[in-house]
Amino acid sequence: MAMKKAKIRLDALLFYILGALYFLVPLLATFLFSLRGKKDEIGFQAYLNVFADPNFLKSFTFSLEMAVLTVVLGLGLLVPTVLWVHLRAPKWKVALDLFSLLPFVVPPVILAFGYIKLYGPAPFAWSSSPLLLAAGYVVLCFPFVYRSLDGGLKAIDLKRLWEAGASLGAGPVRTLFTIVLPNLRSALLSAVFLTFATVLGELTLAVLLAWPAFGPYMALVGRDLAYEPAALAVLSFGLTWAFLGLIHLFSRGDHGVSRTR
Amino acid sequence: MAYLELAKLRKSWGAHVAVEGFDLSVEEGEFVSFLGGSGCGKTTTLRMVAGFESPDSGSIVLGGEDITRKSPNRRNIGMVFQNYALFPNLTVAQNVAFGLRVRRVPRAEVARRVDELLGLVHLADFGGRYPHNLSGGQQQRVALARALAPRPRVLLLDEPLSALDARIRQHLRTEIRALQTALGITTIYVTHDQEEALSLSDRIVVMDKGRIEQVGTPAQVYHEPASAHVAGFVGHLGVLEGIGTADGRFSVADQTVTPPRPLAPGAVTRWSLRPERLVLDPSDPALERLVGQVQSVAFLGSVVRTQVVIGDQVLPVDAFVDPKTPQPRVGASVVVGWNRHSGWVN
Repeated sequence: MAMKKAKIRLDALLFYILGALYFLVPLLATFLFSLRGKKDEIGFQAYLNVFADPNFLKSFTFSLEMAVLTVVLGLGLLVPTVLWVHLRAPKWKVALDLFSLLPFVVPPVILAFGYIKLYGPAPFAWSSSPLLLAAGYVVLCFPFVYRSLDGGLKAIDLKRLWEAGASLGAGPVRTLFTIVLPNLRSALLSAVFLTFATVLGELTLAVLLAWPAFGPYMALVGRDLAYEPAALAVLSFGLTWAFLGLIHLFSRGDHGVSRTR
Repeated sequence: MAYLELAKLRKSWGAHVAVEGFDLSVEEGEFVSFLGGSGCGKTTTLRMVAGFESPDSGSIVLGGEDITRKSPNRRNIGMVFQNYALFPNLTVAQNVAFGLRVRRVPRAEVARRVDELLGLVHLADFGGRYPHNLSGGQQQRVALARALAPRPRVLLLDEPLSALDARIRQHLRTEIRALQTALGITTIYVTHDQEEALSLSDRIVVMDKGRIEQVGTPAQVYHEPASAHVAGFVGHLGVLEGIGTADGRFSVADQTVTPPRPLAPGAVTRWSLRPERLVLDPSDPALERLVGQVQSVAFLGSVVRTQVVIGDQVLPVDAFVDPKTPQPRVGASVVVGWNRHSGWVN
């Protein structure tokens, strides 16, 4: 029995090592490559070049703004919808599950051309508005936001909490902000950070709708330069992990919703 | 007019009628239990009183005010749920204070009331804890304190003890009744547990298939059940099936006994009897008696339940445990006796 346990642990260790090599070796190689920005020297020249480029900050700030807008629009649209479906129209959940998969089925390029076709000419000539890009991002992030919220709501007995709030005299708004949303904190944080990670790296919509976002900037740098793209890739990776770290950090304060039932 | 009047309540989902023709008057301070099996409509009725379900027709009048279409948060009716439904993000004290904060009660008064309520449910030192740090019984006490804090006009309890183990259930049952009596709050309690309903209630509403079968005090429901269903649901029941003889007696397994009223010859008849109204080997010659064989003997603490086979039917007989009297032997022949006016013949 003990031998079997030891064998399982060894197997697991082997897969951990293989997995780590698979993910870390290319990253390490990219990082080492990014340090060779100056000939015959190891240093952070490529990173300094990236930070010195005004387009870096401009594109990054633009994408950050878009990410904030996407979060506001996405959560503003999906939180009430998912709550409504869970509380009042559970039979629509299947449809919502299906819709949430559409962004994986319909490629962003189709979405972008659809937008240009529909919102290019009058009377809906909105293709020059950044709101249209944010709307596209909302669609792209729909699966992540929906799945996060759905998972969060499944972990709490929403209907009972809602009714308990009402029986104590609370109206829907008060119940939403004092009971439901605080108990969805980690789900909301997941949705927010996954949206940020998606928007910051998104290329297709931004290119086709002609916006100076961070994704197209990375692609442009990758086409024209050698070491800076590697530095950007490492920065982007670090940023994503920083977001995941933040999710973990903020979720730790969660009071174990699912454990209370 | 009673304090709470439910008149001709009806609720259906499509073709399924959950509650129909529900009429009930509840006096102020009364403790009423809705008792019935799964799907009998007891919880649906409670949820209509709370405002979580809208009746198709009928009315709910509380303290002279028609609240049938009033939203739940404006009814001032407290509710305790089966799974507690405590707010996980709030501490125990914040949970109890929630209803008071909603009503904008001054902070000092909230603190005083929370302390008072937590003291009443014996959780005075638990105010700073979160619900997930409490046991099931403690969580349900917090739920009770939370529901009582805003001084609701009516307290509704939806199977509040069913998720707890037997010992805690019994203890909390006593506490709930003591609290209700002390506060004098009108209470409706939903349960499928007859023992709970019998021990807690001023009156019991027995329900089946969305309708009221009987409303009465625990003693009335137990001793004078309105139907065989009520008799079977409340308390234990043994049933003998026999045939009416030419002289109107009750014949079972080639033996005859005298029923409370003469039977039609050849009529298939069921005589339902409470196990505690039967005696083994009776000395009183006035009792009806049938001979049978002991199938099993179960020791239930204060009571011994003997299953006696009469023909191909089994009749349970309960007797208080007497350490000096030997228990019946399995396989032994025994006489089962009872007063002819015991039980129900139909």
